[in-house]
Amino acid sequence: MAVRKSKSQRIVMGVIFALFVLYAVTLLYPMIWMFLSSLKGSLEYETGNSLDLPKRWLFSNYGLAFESLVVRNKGGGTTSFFGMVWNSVWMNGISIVLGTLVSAITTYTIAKLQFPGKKVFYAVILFMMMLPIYGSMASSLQIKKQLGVFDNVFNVLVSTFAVGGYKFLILYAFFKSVSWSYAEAAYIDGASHFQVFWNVMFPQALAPLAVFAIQDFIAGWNDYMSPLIYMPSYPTIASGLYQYESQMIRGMNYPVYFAGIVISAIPILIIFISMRKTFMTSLSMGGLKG
Amino acid sequence: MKKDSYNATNLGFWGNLKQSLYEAKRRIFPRVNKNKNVSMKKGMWLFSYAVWALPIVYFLIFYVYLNFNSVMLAFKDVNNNFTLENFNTVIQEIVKSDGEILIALRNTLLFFTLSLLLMPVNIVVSYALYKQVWGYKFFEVIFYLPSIIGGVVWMTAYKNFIHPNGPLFTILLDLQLITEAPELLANTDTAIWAVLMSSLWLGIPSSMLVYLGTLARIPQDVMEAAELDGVGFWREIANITVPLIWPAISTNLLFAVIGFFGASGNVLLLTEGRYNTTTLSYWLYDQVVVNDRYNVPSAMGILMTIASLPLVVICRWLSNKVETIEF
Repeated sequence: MAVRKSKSQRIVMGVIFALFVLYAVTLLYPMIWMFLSSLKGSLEYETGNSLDLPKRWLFSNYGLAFESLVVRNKGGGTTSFFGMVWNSVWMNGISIVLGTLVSAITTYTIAKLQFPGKKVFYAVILFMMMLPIYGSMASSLQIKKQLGVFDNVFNVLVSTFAVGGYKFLILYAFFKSVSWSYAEAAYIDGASHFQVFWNVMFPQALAPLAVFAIQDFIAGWNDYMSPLIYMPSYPTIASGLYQYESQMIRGMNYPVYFAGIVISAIPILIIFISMRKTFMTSLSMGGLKG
Repeated sequence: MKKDSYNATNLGFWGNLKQSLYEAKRRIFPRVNKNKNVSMKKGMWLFSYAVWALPIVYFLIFYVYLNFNSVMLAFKDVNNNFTLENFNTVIQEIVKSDGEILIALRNTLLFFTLSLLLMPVNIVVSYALYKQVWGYKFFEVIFYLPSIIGGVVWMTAYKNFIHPNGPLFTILLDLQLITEAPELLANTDTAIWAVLMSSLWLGIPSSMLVYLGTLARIPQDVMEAAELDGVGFWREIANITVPLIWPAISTNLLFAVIGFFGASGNVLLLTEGRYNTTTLSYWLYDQVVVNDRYNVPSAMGILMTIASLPLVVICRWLSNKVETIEF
């Protein structure tokens, strides 16, 4: 299309461009500054001019981060930096794999199968989305402690059975739009319900499910709240780094801490860079239409 | 949410269910598809219920019983005896002139207002990217960083960046715009504004992908027609774009308003609620997790939930009122 932009239009776009540049700088500069600071010596950071470049680029701070960023967890023990990374990996691994399967198969039954009560399920899920309930954290902690699913692997397992939210709505719309004829054919060939789901429906849903999995990974990797509340003995990379900082009020080696922070962002950046296309195009399916 | 969102489930082509069941269903949900051509597959109920068994158990424990237990907690003291004292404590904290809940309420309102003010900004940002402002591909990537990089990372950068010895005040001192570097996050007068500032900073491009995705679905000819008519940028946004992407906007608005009492910023990471920066949701967290108090927060939670009910009703009513443009 070759519509010529009017003059005023171009002025507006120019102003917006200038503002965008300014905003991009405010996003990037603090990050670059933190990275540069992570290469300084501890004393140099504390006493020197914060705008100066590092005198010597101490990449050794990154090795030190793995050694010295040890956090006292609330279970009484300590967790090393590797431990925090591992906690982030296994917790997210379990909840993404199981959570994706559970939400796929439950949403599929509501969208495609017929059974009494499914509309009630749908209505309940919508109701839960529409009605915010505050202050249930106390009750939730109490119940989890009573059931023994507090501060252990079962907490992660149990939470994967929470179905609902916008993910449900999008998957629901997706399964609705998938043609039923392959499933029909599979049924005629004698496939069971699970086989139809697993061999016919699930492969077709891989694209949106993969996007959700990536979203969940990013959200889980960055989540510092829920590990802090429900898994206090298992600090993740996000909750652990926060706890480390609040424990070390004095005598903290800031550059090494910054190095830890930078390391924590690297997996996200790698995923983002390698999957930028998928991200930018398919995440937009979150754009709700009607 | 649109008014007929759950009526959209009219896909019942396995509908060879018993007549009585249909009637029972129709009594609850008036619109039921009566397509009975396809025969019922064996074991479909069994399979569906097997799939739902654990989610249902989860729902019964962690939704139904959990909320029931919440109510119980609110009416009990630490020794499990019935009391109304928890509600009294909450109300005292609101009525007192420097009560913590009153401060939390004020701050929650500030964060909520900020999120509303950011919405038009979000739309303009997305629209400029959609209109392919120069360098839009680069900006899209950079503007997406706040949504994918974690709060701990951003807030560590922010906190140290605005520290008296940090780059921001070093630059301002060098330019002689100020004579003394203030400690913004450790001062009752400024801390809340510094926390709000961090939300503003990272919130400028939020919902970008949702709006871009919605804009991308608008047929090209609609947009081109508007451009040929020579409408200016702002009129195009106000009169053409906003109505076209209204479903996305109203959904965002709806969830912002419904979640009013949950509005909060990075309070934990920046100030841990000190210097009058607490919000309602931070206060709840602080009471339960840090102070191990279960009863008063539960009472507070009930009051918040009840207070938000009118918001939910009004929102639903409003979103049913506004007509959506189909294209």
